[in-house]
Amino acid sequence: MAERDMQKELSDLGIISLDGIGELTRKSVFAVIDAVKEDNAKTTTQAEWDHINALEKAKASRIQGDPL
Amino acid sequence: MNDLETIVRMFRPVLRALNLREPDKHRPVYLSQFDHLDVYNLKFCSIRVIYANLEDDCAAVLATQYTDGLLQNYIVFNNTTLKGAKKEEIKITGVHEFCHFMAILFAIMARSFDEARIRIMERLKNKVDLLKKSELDMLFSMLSKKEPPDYRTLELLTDSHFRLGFEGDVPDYIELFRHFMFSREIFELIFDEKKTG
Repeated sequence: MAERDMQKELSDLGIISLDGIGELTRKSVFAVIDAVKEDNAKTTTQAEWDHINALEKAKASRIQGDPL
Repeated sequence: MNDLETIVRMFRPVLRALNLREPDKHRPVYLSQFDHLDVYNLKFCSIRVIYANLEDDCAAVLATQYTDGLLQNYIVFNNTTLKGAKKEEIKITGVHEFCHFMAILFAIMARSFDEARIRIMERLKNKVDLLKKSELDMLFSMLSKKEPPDYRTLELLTDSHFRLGFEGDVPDYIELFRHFMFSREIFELIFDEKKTG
C-alpha cells in the first residue's frame, strides 16, 4: 500500500489550520483527516450553504421585522 | 475588537451551544444562528465537535477547513483518552480549543479574509500547538485546587500559545480562557471570598 501524503491530504481537504500538528504524530494527523472526511461525507457544502442561507433569511426577518 | 467583556458576552452563546460536556447534544453550530453576531459578517463560519482516535498524548485538536466558501471548525476530541474523562476535563479541553477558534475569528475580522487565510495557512506549515493529555491532567489538577491556580506556569496556558500574531488588538488569551471557563457568578464568588477573607 502506498504511503499516505499528509500535506497533500490536508491540502485536498482544505485544512488551513491544525492547532496540534507541530508535535502531533503522523498517526494523529491522519486520524484528524479521517474524522473530518467522515463528517464531510454526512452532507454537502451546498446543503451547508442552503442551511446557512435559511438561517440568514430567518435572522433578517427577526431583525427587520415584517414589511408594512 | 479588544474589549474582553464584549467578546465574552458576544461569543459565550456560541460556546454554550456546543454543549461540550453533553456528547448526545453535539450539533454543528453556525454563527448565522446568532442574531447579535450579524454585525461581524461571519455567516460562513461554523464549529462542531467530532471525535478521532488520536495518539495518547494528545487530548484535542482544533482543525479549520475552508472549502467552497465555508469555514468549518472542528474541535476534535481524542476518542481514546477522553472516553470516561470527567465532564470538567472535557470542558477544559473544549474551552481551550474554543480559544484557538476565537483566534481564527479575530484574524479574519482584523484583516481581509484572503490575507488572514494565507497567513493562517503559513502558520500551519511553520508552527502549531499541541494540547497534550499530560498537560491537561496538570491543568485539571490546578483548577481543582482551592488556591487560585497560577495559569502561567503551563506553556499551554500562555498567551503566546494561542496568539497568531496578526489578529490585531485583542485581549490576553489567558483572560479569555478564564472568562469562558467560569461564569460571572463563579468569578463574583471568588472575588467576594477574597474581599471577606
